[in-house]
Amino acid sequence: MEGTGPIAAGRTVPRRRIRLTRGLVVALAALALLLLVVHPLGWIIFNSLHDDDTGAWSVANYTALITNRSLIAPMVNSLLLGFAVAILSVMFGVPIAWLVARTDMPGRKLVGVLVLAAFVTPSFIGATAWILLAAPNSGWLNVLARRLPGMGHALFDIYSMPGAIFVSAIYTVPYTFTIVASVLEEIAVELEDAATTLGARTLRTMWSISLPLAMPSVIAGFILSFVQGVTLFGVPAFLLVPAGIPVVTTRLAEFYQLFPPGLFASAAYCMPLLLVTAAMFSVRKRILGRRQFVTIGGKARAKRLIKLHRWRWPAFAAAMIVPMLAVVMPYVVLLLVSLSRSWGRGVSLDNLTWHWYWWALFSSGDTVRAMRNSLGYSAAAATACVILGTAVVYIVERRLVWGGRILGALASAPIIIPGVVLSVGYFAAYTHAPLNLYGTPAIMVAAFTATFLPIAYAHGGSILKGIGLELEHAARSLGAGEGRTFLAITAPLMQSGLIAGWLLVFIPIIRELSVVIFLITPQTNVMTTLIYNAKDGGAYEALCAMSVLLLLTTLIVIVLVRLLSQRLVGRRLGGWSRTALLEGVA
Amino acid sequence: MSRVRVADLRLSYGTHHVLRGIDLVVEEGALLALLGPSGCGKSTMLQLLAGFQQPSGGEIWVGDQMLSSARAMVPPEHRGISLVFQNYAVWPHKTVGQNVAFGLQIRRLPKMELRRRLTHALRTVRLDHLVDRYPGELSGGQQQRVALARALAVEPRVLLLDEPLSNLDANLREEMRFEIRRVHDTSGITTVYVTHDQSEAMVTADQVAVLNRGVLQQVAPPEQIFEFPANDFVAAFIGGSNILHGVHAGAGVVRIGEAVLRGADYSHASPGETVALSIRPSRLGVTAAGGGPAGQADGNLLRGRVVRSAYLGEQRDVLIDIGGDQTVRALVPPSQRFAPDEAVLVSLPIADCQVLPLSAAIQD
Amino acid sequence: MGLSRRTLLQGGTAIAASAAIHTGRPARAAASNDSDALYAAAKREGTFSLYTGAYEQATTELLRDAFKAKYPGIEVEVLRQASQTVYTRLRLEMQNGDPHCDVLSTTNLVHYLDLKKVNALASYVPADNDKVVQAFRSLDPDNTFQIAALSLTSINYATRATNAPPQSWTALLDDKWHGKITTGSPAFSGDVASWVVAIRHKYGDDFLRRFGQQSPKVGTSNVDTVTDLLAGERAVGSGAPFSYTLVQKAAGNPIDVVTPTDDTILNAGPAAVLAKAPHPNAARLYMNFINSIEYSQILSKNFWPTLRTDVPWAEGRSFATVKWYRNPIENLSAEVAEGIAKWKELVR
Repeated sequence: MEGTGPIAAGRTVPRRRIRLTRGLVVALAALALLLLVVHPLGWIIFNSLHDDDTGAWSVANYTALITNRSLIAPMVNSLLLGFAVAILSVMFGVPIAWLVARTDMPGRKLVGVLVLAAFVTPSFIGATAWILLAAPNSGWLNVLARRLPGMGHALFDIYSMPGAIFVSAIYTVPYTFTIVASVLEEIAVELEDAATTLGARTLRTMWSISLPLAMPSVIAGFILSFVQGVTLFGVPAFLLVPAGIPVVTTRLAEFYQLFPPGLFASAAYCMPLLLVTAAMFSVRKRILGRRQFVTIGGKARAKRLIKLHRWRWPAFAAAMIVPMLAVVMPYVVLLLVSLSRSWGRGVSLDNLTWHWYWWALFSSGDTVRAMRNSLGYSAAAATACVILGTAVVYIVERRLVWGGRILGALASAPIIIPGVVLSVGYFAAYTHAPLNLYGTPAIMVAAFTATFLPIAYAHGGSILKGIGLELEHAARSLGAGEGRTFLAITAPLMQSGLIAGWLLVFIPIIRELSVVIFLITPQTNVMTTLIYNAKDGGAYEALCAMSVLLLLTTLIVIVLVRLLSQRLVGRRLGGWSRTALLEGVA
Repeated sequence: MSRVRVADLRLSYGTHHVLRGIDLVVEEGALLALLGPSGCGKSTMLQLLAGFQQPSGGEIWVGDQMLSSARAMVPPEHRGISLVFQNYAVWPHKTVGQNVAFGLQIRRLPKMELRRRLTHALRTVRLDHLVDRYPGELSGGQQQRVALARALAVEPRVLLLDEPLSNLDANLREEMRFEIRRVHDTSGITTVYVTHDQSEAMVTADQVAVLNRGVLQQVAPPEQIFEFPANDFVAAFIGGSNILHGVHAGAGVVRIGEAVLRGADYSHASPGETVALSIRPSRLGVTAAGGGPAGQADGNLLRGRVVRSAYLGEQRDVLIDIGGDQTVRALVPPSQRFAPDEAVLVSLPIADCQVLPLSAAIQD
Repeated sequence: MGLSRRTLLQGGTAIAASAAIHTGRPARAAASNDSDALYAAAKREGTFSLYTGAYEQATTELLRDAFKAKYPGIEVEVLRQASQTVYTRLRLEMQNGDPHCDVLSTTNLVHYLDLKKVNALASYVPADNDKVVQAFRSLDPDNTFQIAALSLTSINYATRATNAPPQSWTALLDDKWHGKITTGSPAFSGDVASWVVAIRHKYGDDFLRRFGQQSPKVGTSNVDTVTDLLAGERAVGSGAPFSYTLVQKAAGNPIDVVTPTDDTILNAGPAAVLAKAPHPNAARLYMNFINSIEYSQILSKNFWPTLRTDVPWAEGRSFATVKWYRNPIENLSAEVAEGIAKWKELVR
């Protein structure tokens, strides 16, 4: 009973032919990574070892780091900012995550949605809103507070280190929340039940069982938040520069203000930042290496929720603090100011107008172009991230080639490179021959792709791990080659996860500022850089209108993509897909 | 044409040896069960047979074609060998019909032929009424049958099954065992069936190959394996025989501590070598010690103390410590009661004892 | 000066030609001052790129639109940011050998001196030069840059916060203005840089030290002062944009200017055509436009000093009525650098 067709011959296929597609895929992926990651980083290192004035090899830039006082203070401030943000982020993010993921607190869904909204908001826009709320003299909160008897001086001064920490922290909480919540959701209910049946009360169970099990994710959240605090650019630029408090990212920007820009000195100044973030991530890796002890259920089951009893509503109030501060209050302010003719005159009926929106959408060609650019570049970069990330994931996970893990490392590397530093690198690498991309969309898309490739890679990895190798082997044994197996089996199964992954990078890209701050020209302006530059020009009303438009657009895209995702996946995968969807689109 | 021959097959990862020189033949149309404890290398054998791993040494032949060696390998898609997995690996995004038709589509069969084979395969596993369902809507047993149909539809030269029933519940397992045998008999495909469950192997296989730590212990039909195990490992693994270690003291004579026991000698050992005495738990007789002369009965006798005794309904399971760090397990009629630590006499009828060699010591 | 227009023309032509040879480009019809030919040539180019930090967004757009109205068929790409920012961008472009900018117009003379040193500017004598205010007619003897903006830096204040604003720079140092002042930064704004140099000329570093002790809010552009005053964040603006403040006042905002008794600082903001401009004809056309009546009329409407003698300022002001001071050109580069350094040390 021989099978018919090509299988009957059963000849040994020459090695070359098998390796061709594989080799091509690997080569393309390697080339992409080289251009996106290695080249810019290489230039930074190269430049840092040269002298700005003479162009000769020199370690002077590095010695200046230690000797030049004006360079040390920003480093200290950055570390302070980073740690404070990390602590706050964990302090607020973990309890909220627990409340939303494991308890019967009312309004869980609302809190989750609001935290997502905070995740979508660029932090420097949040900073703008908080300037409007808490600038020492004109901030609305201070104005209100001054009406209280005995309040002579300003209650809040947003132009300060505490102010910057506050704003950075409320927009970093979503990171910790997301990581910890997703882990808490997967903890087998039985583990907590065991504690409860032994007599442990709710809080105790949380302390001794849930939290320790989730500890690796809490630490991961801490580290990610620290890195955020240290690498943020927009918030310190808006809040700390007027206060005269330098941090590394704003100091780096200063190098580019003068001519000749201290290209080489700034490259060296990137290094401490790089080292700190690299160190943090290696710590994280070491800790997460023991990830196994969080047990994953596997099939979606109904979760047992911890009952809070009379603490239900107080918990809700507590959980709503961060969403109020990060989303509700700022959005209200942005909305009100954007609808005011002149916000200095305060809120009043005769001050309301659609003028600024009309201006942004119809009169200012800049805004429309920036909006198109934002959507276009972000979509292109997100797509590139997902494709490249998936390719590398497949190469690494399925061990297509020896040394494939190097590709994986390269794909993950950019996570430790602060956005501003990457911007410096791209500027150095791609604004002169042979590959001069200055002022082109290409350099923008490339910078975005490089920055968020690690997320796509990690996400793709988790999707692929969920697809058992046997599913592919089954296809192979039935006669499908590697390529066909990928197209017919692996890719369709990854589909819904990949769509979720696309969204997962699209959101951070469209709200990213620091990685493109040095790369834009008027033609290639995106919304974030337009808004950032508009602040120089002064009109807060226009600024707010543009911010609101950016937020609306992002939310619309999210909704559309989710609808699309649900329609594509539909009933076909039955019970299996519900879990995948839950994990994928969370 | 589809006779499987494995010659001196080896697989190692650095100093870790998974398979140490396996020689095996599966005759055309036969069903071989590959049996062994976890980690013995049986699943790795299947991976090598299917072409998902390359051997470190040795060769794999199917018919008159060499499929694998340390130097060259035919890729999985060109081997004509189908696999059925423990977790079914049925594709959730395709219907039952699409799953089963996949291999046929790759072979670019004309529509009529494809339809015919698809229907035939589904009918063989009795799933033709579910052709348009998605796997998510099926039970475990049904999914396994889909996997089987999918593997059979392409009329492979060899069929490999990797613990296909492990994920099913006990009742279904029994039913499916016979199902697989029936399907095999109908199709006549050379089959290799991997399992850790000996009753599965016994029911379905023409030949059973017992594997332990990468070394083949014995290849024989089920009855022979059961009645005449080749060494102590096989005896213990199949049927759960008691294994007592002692010193060979002449043909059929084994010295265990102070006692001298006799049995049928299959050890080919010389006096002085360590051998094993094997006897099934159901064959042992246990009586209370004390009183009565401990002289020569018409069998082997050992003294011991009861460790524990468990009532099983049809039998009583008694564990007895006979000293020298060895224990025996006896299945006695439930009317016999023993208390823990009670001194007893264990009789091992000579006719039921076998003297077996030790399975070769394995150097790591 | 005493040079006739024709001599200027000939000189200009010769210089342009030699400059063209210098840069390796063929001397085009651009050397010709004939408007129609120039317009035709510019139209063929179809567009040009203007990097400017001289005027705020609104005025810049008005000037752009007026140019397009006067010379239809030519697109104008405007990059408007703080003077230092556009200058840096230009220099980076030049360094990368990728010329994009055609015309540069900032409020920092030092930029042009530096560019001239590296032969980056094209020499050109625009039309109607004789109509330009005499004091600024020939900013550069080699005609590589011309006057395009007269920026007045003064004090501004929020009328709701005070009705007795400081009347001089020294009055800013009064205790009652502690914590109430807002200013731009000389590192970003050419106007503020020139103010710092002027103040140091007048009062030395002591002024800056005491100014720093007043805890001013330091932004980037001098336009930030208006933002902060309108927001109610601060009461008084230093190194503030005279003209832009008046625009806001005319729009009904509660803000006004003070011309200090110890001089309003005047900053001559030049404009120049880049030697490697991709659209040299359109660029030169724009330089002509700078000297035109339409240009000065827009300036006047927006409370800027006009460039032409035959177009009066708004509200009857003039050089005669406003007491002004301008930094001498000698050593300006060094003084600006020094000023910025001192600012960083004493104020920030």
